[in-house]
Amino acid sequence: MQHLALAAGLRALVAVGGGYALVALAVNALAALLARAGQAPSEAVVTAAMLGFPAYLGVLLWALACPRLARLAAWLGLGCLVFGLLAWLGAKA
Amino acid sequence: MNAAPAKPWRQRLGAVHTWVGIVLGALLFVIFWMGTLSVFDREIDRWMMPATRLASPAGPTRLAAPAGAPHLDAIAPLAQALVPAGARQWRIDWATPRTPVLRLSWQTQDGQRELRYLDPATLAIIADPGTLGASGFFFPFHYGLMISWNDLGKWLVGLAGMAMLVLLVSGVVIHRKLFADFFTFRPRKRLPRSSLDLHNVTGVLGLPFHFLITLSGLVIFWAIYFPQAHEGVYGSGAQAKAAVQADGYGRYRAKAAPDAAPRPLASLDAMADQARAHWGDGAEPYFVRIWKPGQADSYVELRRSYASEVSMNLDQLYFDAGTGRFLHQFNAAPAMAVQRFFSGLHFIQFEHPLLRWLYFGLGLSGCVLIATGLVFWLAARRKATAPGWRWRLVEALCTASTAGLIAATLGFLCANRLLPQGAQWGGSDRAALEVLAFFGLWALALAHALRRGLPAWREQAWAIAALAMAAALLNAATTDAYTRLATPWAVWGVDAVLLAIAATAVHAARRLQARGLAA
Repeated sequence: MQHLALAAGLRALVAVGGGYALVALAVNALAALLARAGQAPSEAVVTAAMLGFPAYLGVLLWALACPRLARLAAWLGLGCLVFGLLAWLGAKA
Repeated sequence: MNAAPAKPWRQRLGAVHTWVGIVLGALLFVIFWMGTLSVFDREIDRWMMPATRLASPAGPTRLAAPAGAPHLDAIAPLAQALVPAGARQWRIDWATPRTPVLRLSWQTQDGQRELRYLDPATLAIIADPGTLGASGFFFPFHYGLMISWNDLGKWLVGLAGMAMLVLLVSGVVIHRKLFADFFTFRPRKRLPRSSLDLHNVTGVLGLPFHFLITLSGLVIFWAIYFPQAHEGVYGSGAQAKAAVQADGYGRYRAKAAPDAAPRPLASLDAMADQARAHWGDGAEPYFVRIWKPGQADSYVELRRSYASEVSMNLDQLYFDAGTGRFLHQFNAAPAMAVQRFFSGLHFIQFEHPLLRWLYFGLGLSGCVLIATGLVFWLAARRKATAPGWRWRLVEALCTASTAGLIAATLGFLCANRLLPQGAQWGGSDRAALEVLAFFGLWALALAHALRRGLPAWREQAWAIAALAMAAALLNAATTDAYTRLATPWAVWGVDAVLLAIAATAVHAARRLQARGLAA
């Protein structure tokens, strides 16, 4: 019982924290790409940041209900990697 | 744990709904309650600051500054006498129907902010009201929990906001009978059943409002919740951050010629007229701000009122302070305009009494939604849980964060009417003492709930009834609210809501008693 509660708590922490990291990186990447695509810099940032909220909602709904810590961590890690790479590539030198 | 059965997503969301609700329900209630009160923050301000209960400015109410408003050029010398030399800026906010006082505020050289209320008819300074009021306490509590350290309060509110969205979506997904729930409320059934009915009916009816109010609340603080969003575009550091804000929200800096000498302030009324002509369509400025007063590169900013539109526009006009010459204008770009629309949807700064009452009612329905969710869980779980200190703590936290919070809020209003003008105690001024009364009562409610357990619900309902009644009576006894015909409706409205709260609390307390549930 104690063990189960601890595992569920850990999963929730990973879902909330890892999910946020993923979305924050995606926001960065999208802002950089929109700016490169010609949107005004501040507009690109605001657009990406506003879209971050529904995106985080979607990620949370999946991540909080994910029953396996390993699968959760793997997908979130992969997502962070992809969007981190995009954000790094998209950032102005 | 690794052998978790593959339950369908919908069932797993049920557990998510329960646990997110339990962990963040109490915090969510605090935020919703304070937000609901903030819908009428200016009205509660009038109640808490009797000296500002002036007649609303006459004229068309959809405009910020009606005909007959005092001339800016008459106020300017007053401001120049009050504002210390070297101030960064000073500004005048026009009186509006909800805030019938002129507000003169300034920021000193070292960043200190000061505010004085002025009677718009006589331009007399109104004595310091000695209170933060609703707009200075309930409102910042709503978005920052009065925790300013590292924006922790705002982050907690953001977390609770995301939790609310998760709760709303998961609540809908786990519900099969969305339509039937419109019409299902069985108040005479046992408490768990009727509280679940009430949870469902408020949840379904208020769903669009609750979703949008939460989402728009998050969108307002996009720069707090995604503080690094700009880094790929602007780079990092404080300067980059300032550049995003300047580009998005507008920020003008006038450059003075090197040999320019300071000049006296040109006519502000003429600048305001230029602004009206520029915006057209009956638009009015709602504040005028003088940057770098007394310096050679001093300039004047005028902002367009959003009293008659949802969006909190960013329209700004800048004039040279010495000559009155037009310098610069700013309007929000499209994406920022969307952000401003969401902000306006949340802040309801437009003048529309009916919609304001709807916001208030729907805000209350959010409070009911959250509280009944907690009560249902407590009632269902109580039977299955061995009594012990842990259960008692959970139940006490629920009681104190709902009933106790309402009682503390009402105690705050009572303290506002009881503390004498200029009260001082242990280094705290009157406004701080009111806040102390709030937190003192809240802590007392928690201690009471811990000590009494289940009956605390009923007893705190009685406390709410008594405090609400006392607040309304104190207003009648200590102010001229009922001896003067010109008292603004806002003040009577606050009293009417206080009496409604008292009646509701008496009803709840008696129901709890009759069922023996909280005996």
